[in-house]
Amino acid sequence: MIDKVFSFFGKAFCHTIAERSLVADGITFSVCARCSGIYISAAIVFIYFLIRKRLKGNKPPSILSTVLLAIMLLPFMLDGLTSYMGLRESNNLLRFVTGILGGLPLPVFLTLITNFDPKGENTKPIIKNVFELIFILCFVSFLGYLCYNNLLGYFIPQVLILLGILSIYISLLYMVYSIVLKKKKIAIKLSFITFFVYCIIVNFLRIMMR
Amino acid sequence: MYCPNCHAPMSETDTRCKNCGYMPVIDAEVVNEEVHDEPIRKTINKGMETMENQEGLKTIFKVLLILMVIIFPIFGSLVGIFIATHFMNDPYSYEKRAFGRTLLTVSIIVLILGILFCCISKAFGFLSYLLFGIF
Repeated sequence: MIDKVFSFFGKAFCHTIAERSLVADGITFSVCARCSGIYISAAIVFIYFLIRKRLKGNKPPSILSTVLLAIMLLPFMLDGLTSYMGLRESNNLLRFVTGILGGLPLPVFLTLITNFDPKGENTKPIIKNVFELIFILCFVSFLGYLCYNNLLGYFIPQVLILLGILSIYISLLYMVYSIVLKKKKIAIKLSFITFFVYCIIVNFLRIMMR
Repeated sequence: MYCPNCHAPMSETDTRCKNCGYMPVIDAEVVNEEVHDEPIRKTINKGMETMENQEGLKTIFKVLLILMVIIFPIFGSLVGIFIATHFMNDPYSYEKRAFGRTLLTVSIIVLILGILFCCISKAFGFLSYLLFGIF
């Protein structure tokens, strides 16, 4: 049953090609290695923000932190682009590592866009300094290492992937709706509705095209 | 006291207008006088720089930046994120901060949709590759 839930969300957001996916306890993950990296990384960062009460942060990161965040996105983009264009063939380790790096900046920028007020003072930090960013990177990399080497089993990484999918896409939708509608409660409801409708439509289309 | 820029009410202790972000650093009377005192002159020069910053960005520059992010989604969004964060850190110009937020929003949306459509287009085959391949 729980496998079907993972598969439902996985199919809505990833190609789910088995050869490109990680395997734990003999079961293939519901998304590919690159997506696993992105969503595991994003979920861990969101949980970190939740614990450290940074989800309401609105202060833009410093220029140095922004450079570091952009550098994290670069390998992920290069690997994805060159592999997608057929210039070279990537492997699961590279996909996972670049995914972990690429997923880390997303919660930072999503939180910033949602809370930043151009008219206000914006004094609540999301990331205090570069050292905190490096700490988060080390922590995420360590958990990524555990996931890749099957030391956390199947269930924990899969739950993190699901949390990552939910947090990234619902934050993205909420961000757009709250900017357009300016009403937070309606934006939250619409975000969830749009998210589930999208999942249902993509899963339906994939069944039809099988 | 009212903001000289947007005429919203301000208290005497406010260093920045809560409505538009304007920082009335310069007292107009001080500017008009010939000032010999070095600290006051520095304050006025800083204020003049503030005024220059508040002139904001040209529309064509904004449009080109947004187009760059959309047309070159991979590296455009990276550059967009960097420029947007730089604008959002600007303490003087409300317009730059507001545009920075818009640019960051566009960059992140393009980036996430790029990831999503690359993955999904593989699942749906050639037709969707044609539809979404531009990402």
